[in-house]
Amino acid sequence: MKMFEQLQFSFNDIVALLPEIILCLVILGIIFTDFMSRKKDKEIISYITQIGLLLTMIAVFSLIGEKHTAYSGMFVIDNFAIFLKIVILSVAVLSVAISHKFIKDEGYESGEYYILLLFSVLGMMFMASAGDLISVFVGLELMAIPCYFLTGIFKNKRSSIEGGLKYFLMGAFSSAVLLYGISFLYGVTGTTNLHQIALYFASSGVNLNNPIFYLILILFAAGFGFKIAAVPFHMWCPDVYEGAPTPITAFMSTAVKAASFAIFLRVYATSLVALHANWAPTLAVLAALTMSIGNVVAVTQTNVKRMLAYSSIAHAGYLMLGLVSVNVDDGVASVLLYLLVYAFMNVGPFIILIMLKNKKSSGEMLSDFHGLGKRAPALAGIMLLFLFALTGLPPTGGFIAKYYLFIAAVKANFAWLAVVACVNTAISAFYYFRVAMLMYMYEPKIDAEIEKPSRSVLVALYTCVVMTLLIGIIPNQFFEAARQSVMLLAK
Amino acid sequence: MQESSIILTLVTFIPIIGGLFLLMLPNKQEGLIKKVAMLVAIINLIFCTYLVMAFDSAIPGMQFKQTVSWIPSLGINYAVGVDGISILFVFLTALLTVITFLASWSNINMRIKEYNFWFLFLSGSVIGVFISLDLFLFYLFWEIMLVPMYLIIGIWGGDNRLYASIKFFLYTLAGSVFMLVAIAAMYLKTGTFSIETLMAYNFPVNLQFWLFLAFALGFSIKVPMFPFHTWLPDAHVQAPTCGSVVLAGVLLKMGSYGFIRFCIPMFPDAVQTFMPLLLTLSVIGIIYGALMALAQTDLKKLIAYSSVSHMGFIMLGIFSLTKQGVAGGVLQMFNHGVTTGALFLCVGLIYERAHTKAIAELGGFAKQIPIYAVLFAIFSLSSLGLPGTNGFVGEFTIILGAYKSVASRPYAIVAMLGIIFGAAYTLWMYQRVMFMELKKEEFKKIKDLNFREIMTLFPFIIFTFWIGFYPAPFFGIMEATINAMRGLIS
Repeated sequence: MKMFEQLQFSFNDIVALLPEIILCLVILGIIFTDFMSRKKDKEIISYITQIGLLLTMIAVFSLIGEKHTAYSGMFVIDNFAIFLKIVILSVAVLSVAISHKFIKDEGYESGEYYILLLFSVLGMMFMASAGDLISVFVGLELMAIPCYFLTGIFKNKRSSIEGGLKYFLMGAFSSAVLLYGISFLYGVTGTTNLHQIALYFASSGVNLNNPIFYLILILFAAGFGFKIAAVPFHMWCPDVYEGAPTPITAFMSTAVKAASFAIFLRVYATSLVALHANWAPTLAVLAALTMSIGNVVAVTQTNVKRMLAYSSIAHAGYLMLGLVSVNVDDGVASVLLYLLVYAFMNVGPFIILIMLKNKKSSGEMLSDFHGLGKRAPALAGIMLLFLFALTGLPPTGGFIAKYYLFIAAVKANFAWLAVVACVNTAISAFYYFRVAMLMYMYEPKIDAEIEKPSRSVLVALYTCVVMTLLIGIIPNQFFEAARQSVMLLAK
Repeated sequence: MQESSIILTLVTFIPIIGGLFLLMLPNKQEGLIKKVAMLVAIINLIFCTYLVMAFDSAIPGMQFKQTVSWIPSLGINYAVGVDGISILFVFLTALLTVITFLASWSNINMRIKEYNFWFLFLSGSVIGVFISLDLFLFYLFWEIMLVPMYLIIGIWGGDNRLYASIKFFLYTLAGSVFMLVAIAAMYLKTGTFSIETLMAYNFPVNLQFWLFLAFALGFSIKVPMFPFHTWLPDAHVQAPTCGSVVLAGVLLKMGSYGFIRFCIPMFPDAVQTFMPLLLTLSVIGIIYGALMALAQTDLKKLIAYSSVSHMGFIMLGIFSLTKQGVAGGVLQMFNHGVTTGALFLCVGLIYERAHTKAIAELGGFAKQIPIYAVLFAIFSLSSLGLPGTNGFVGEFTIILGAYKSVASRPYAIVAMLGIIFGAAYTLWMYQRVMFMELKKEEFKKIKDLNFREIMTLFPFIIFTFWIGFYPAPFFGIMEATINAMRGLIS
């Protein structure tokens, strides 16, 4: 058959997939260890996972500079994929580092947690390297399905089960919508390969205003928009993030968004870039709505975890500023840089939430932050730094990355969107600084001492702090890395 | 003129690094913390004094420049330099830092380490604003400065401090975020962030319009110009004494400095178009601020509104777009820093003794504490512009400059009403607070100023009379820069 004649297989393909292969071996190793170990020795699995993820990251670093496709174009290896894989793996390591004690305290210590998390990471890595719509879909499902389980892993907690079920139902529905859009695109272009689709649109004789393309764009926007929690596909986000275990929330709000933006960018910047004039204005409006709704609703929250969920919706809105600018040089790079900074500045507060958890309180409410400046000055200072970064104040990376997004948006003639983002920054300052206000200007309500955190948690926290400050004070290397992370076959 | 001078970097980062060092000292050693902070501030002042002495008044451009490549991918450099206008405020900031540390020696009692740290950090970041020659660096320092001020008001302030601090923070942040978009647009248009290059660039007129609006919004909130002034009374009343001194003394100047450094040279056509509006708002600020001051029952709030009125004068001078008007405006900026800073210190001193700021409860202190009475009188008279004091020189030069340009002449005439109101509220305030009868028995035991307190006011006295009688050196420093400034009409 014609399809098999086109399939090629060579040693290069295996080299390109080396990180994914290593990760699969790690997963197998963990399944084995989980099987062999006793109920109380599960901590070793956490360490094996972290080491495995670091090994995978080393393998990814070794591939920097490669620029080719594998498996007949289904798998792409380029700097764009590598940058995102590094971001995703970093978030995964941080999430695993903070997980162990959390799930042990809830009584759910098990190997499945780590196995599911690693499968999700594997799916994300495929998404980052997707060269074909089928790879996109397979990676998406591989990422999403373990996340559904991980959200609902606390079987005794109603919010966890509710979140898991909501996520599963809505996620399945949105995947179906995406698949429907993919099928239409295949029907029109005759191929699922992203590069071939780009060639199809570049060829003459294509009516870019064909109504079918609008249908495809709407379906794609719904499918991808769900995953990044863009308005109006964001309703699942707060409940899911609130119900999930905090390390998983940290994982989902950063890594899942990073991977989803990977495919969003790849599809829109390579195959659909010819339709830019069709989809960009609509996505710009959605971006403005996403930012605004995310920020405005966050103002009303009293549960910090839920507030961070809405704030992550708002950050997806800011990221979409870069998405609508993919037709200019800095568009993709600005999204990449923001994702890098976002990974560290978003996981940080979640780590602090976990550290605040104790027998008397869940650590999630605003009241837990009262007087933190007195109870734990160092912790409060670190939280203040993350609040600066999330608002977008110097000298943190949050400011640099946001500014870069503004440059890209203004370059792409979406200056109005940059202005909306500015107004939203001011609105977000209110709820971020409300936490700072509680920490420094109120008396402590909770009497409990902050338990001494484990070494892994401390290392994770310091990593987030150092990266947030580093990107803010010496950003040049990171700018260069983002700019050189060009997509293969992009404009 | 040096090729690459590190003195400006020193002057900015000595307070910041000194502050970070301070954080490492143990909490209990309060005396040591205060002494180290004071030492850092004095070292900084010595460097700034050297800077002023080594400054060459004849050169119109930037001096003591230093440029280090920071983010080459975006063309952002760490570029610093001072000219005749910014050097005055670098010095003022360093001076006020020393004086506020001296003044807060005995009246800040909690969390002393953090207080001193944030004050040093604030001092360093404000100096950074005045010396930045790169637009991105300017914006960075502008934003950073918000946080220490927010925390100082919010932690060490008065009863309603939470409301005042968040209002100050959000209001100023909202104004300055639009500047960020304008900066991005300017970079994309010109390909550079260098302020010196941008000051000479010719932007197309319609672009100038939007850029001016974005910058003007951020700066007018900081000045504050009517109608963006509503954060000021709350912030001043609720801030601790030394917070008010720095807020009035230096932070407000950043707004008018922004207008002089950015709006007038870079967007001259837009400024010409908006001149009537800006002059109107300035004059409204003068009259409205004065009338509100007349109506106040809280002493600190009265002086806060007098700040609004004085800044209105300064903006009148600046927007007259004449050399004399701008020179008068810049001098008055320095004067306002000196005079209003001193006035807030005086309010703080009376508050420490009487534990109230309500004018109705004060009164009759002149006989009780004569030294204070004399010093307070000197600064009040300077505030209303008595000849012989610095206030007069500034105001007179502003009115002269505003009158000179036909476009701003009517505004100058209306502004003179403001001078009369200024005299009204100042003299009436002084009468109610210092003369008349003592209201409470325990006030009879109030002690006069001790040596430390006199020392905090002493530098202000020197400047009041020096500028009042011999302003030539001060005008001399800024003359070359103002003469070479683009965007002025005469």
